[in-house]
Amino acid sequence: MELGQFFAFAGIAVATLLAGIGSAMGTSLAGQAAAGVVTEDPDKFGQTLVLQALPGTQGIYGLIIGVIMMSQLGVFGANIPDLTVQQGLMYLAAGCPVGIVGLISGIYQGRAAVASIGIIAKQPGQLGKAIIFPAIVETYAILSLIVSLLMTLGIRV
Amino acid sequence: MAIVKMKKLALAGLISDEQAVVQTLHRMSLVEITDVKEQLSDEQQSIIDMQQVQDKLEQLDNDISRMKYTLDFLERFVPDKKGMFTGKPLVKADDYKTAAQKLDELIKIYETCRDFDEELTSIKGQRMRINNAISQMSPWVALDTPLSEVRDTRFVRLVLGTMPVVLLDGFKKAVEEDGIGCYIHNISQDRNTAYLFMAFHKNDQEILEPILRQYEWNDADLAEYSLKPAQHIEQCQHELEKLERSENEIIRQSVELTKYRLDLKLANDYLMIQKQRVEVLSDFAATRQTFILTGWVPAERTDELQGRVSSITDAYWLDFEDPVEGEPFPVAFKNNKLLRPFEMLTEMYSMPAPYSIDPTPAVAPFYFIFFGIMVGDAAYGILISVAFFAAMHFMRTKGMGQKLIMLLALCGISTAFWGAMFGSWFGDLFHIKPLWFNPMEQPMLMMVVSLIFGVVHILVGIGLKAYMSVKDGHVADAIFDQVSWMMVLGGASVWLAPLLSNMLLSTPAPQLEGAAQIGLYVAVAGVVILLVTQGRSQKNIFMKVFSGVGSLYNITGFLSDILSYSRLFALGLASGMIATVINILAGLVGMSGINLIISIPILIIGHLFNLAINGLGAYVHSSRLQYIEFFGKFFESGGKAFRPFHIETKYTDIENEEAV
Repeated sequence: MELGQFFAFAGIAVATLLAGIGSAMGTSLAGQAAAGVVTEDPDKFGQTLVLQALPGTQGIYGLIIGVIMMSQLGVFGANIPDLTVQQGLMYLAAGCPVGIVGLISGIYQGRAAVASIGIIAKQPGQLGKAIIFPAIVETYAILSLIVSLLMTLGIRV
Repeated sequence: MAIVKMKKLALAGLISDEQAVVQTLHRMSLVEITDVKEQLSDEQQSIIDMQQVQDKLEQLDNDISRMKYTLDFLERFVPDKKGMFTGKPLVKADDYKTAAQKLDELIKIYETCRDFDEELTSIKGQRMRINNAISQMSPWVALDTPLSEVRDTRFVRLVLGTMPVVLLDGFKKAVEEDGIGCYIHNISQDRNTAYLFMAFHKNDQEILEPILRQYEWNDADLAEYSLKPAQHIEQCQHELEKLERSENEIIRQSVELTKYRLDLKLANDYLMIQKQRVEVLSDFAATRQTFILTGWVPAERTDELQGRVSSITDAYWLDFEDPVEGEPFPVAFKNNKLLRPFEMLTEMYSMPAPYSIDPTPAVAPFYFIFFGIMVGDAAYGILISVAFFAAMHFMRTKGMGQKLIMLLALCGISTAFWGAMFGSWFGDLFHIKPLWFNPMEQPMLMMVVSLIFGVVHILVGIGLKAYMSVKDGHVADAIFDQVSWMMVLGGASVWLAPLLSNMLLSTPAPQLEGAAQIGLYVAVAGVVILLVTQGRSQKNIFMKVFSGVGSLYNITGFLSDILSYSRLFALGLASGMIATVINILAGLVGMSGINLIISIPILIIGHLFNLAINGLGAYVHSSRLQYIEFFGKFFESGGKAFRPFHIETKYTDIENEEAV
């Protein structure tokens, strides 16, 4: 295997791996808080579940970038084209925004979701407002997704 | 596009008509009652006697809690079946009256249930005690002697006790070494403890005692038992069976009582309605012969109210009054049927201030479009619409729930539309050609489309602020603060259009050059207006200039607002991408013959998951664009929602509220 291909795969890994970790940590934080609320009031399962799901999107964004890179590289096809080291590094760079921002924003969005679950615990009717706070954090994951996407699509193989 | 005009109402009448008036107002759900006593002097307040109301409330509360207790008790044995589409039972007004007549009977049932509950608790306690006895006795089962016979004789001490298994051998050795005549019988032993019978001469007691302590001997506390251990256990088991039987009997009878469940629910709701009618009296003021109430009523329905009141009695005084300039009144919306579901988005954020505008008509089209773009799959859209239109048809929901269902049903249509435009039907499953373009092949075009929507949305937001200023009579402010910015943003967008088209879409657009020139002039004119006017409230000439120039810095805020709309592009692409991934996964398994057994579940579960997660994302982010980017431009919050005096029930829905 060429070094270029290796770097390209590293890019795929960075995008899906870091963003996935971020989402896993974020949803875990929110899930713990949600479980606490549901212990007290099982009727709040649905509402808290929605909030727990919010930090889960970063992982999906990472997956999207990963899949786009894989389809560009023809991983699903028979053979992977040769890449120069430079091209491989470009994939690695393209994976970084969604990976790193996804990691960090996932965790912090999880914290915002925990706080919002606190809203649901005390004010069950306020799901609409509670959803918005974590969603603001997600903006930056979306922006990094856009940048990663445009970078990936900009690489000429 | 309007906030409903409200009128202040004051109604006075004879106390003999009070009940009828309250009943009518309750049924009409038209008047928000305000506390009349706030307008009275202390002296006037002192003659109002609330004691009777308090007593009545207490009685009702008491009965309501009894009904609820009974229902909760029965719920423990036969959970109330709640299907997704069944909801609360729909009942007639007469049913309440029938149930209310049975109230005495129902209170008897409550008492029965309370006794049952106490008995069950006592059974639980007894069972625990017996189980303790059994576990205490069971190690001694092998002792085939009545415990009453294990008592000291004249010279010999007979004892039962326990010792840790690990120490047993050491103990035996120690006894042997000391030469004490001692009979040790190991009755049973578990992992840690040996259960022993010992017999020794009373004279040896003193020597033996320290040894026993050393080897952690514990006397078994069995003084209260006299029969053989096995007999005791048998007795306990017998008692347990008896308890079980009486428990089953109670459960059986309780289950039988569930046939009163509907009656209990009806009685509960009947009492709740009565309670609401008594509770409201605490906001009235009454003398021995008359009462007066105040409240808010929608201006357009005053005649209806007057008519209803006059049909009760002639002896009344009713007065409607416009709110004093600036006096806050409760806020209600008036929109047509299509816009009504979108009211919920506004309500969720905050009610607008009484003298501002209802943003719902402006929110609705953008929310509709944005949701559609963000999910962006025709098949998903059809699924959403079908599911929620079905829910609307089969479920009886009220308030927010109903609005949400209608909102999603409508947004499904938009989703289907945009999905068809982008050629996404379950992603690329069927390879259907897009009606417009495929965002995955032309992402930059998608990005530009998103940003154009953003510019339009923000221009509308600023425009609404201008409209509000003009409505309040501040035409100059509207031109200086809002129109100027609209010129800057709109002009700059047109001016940059050919450049962006060339850069981002790689399509030169010479036909736009002329428009771009005009756009530039408009933008520059806007900038000039801003420079000249933004310092108008400052006295100092330097501050005037500084404020003018400084205001241009706001352009960065608008820029970030517009870029925020790129989420339309990102989320729209995301759902398409995940759909593609799911299709690839299914494709890897194979789409023919026996492989379909695996690939079809992958497709179904995968697409449902994608639909759920992207539906949630679209709902959240479309809301966000309204709340932050859009409302930030004009919305004045701080209104209090109009809450008319209305009938509320817990367990049942009423078919015809007018008859209750």
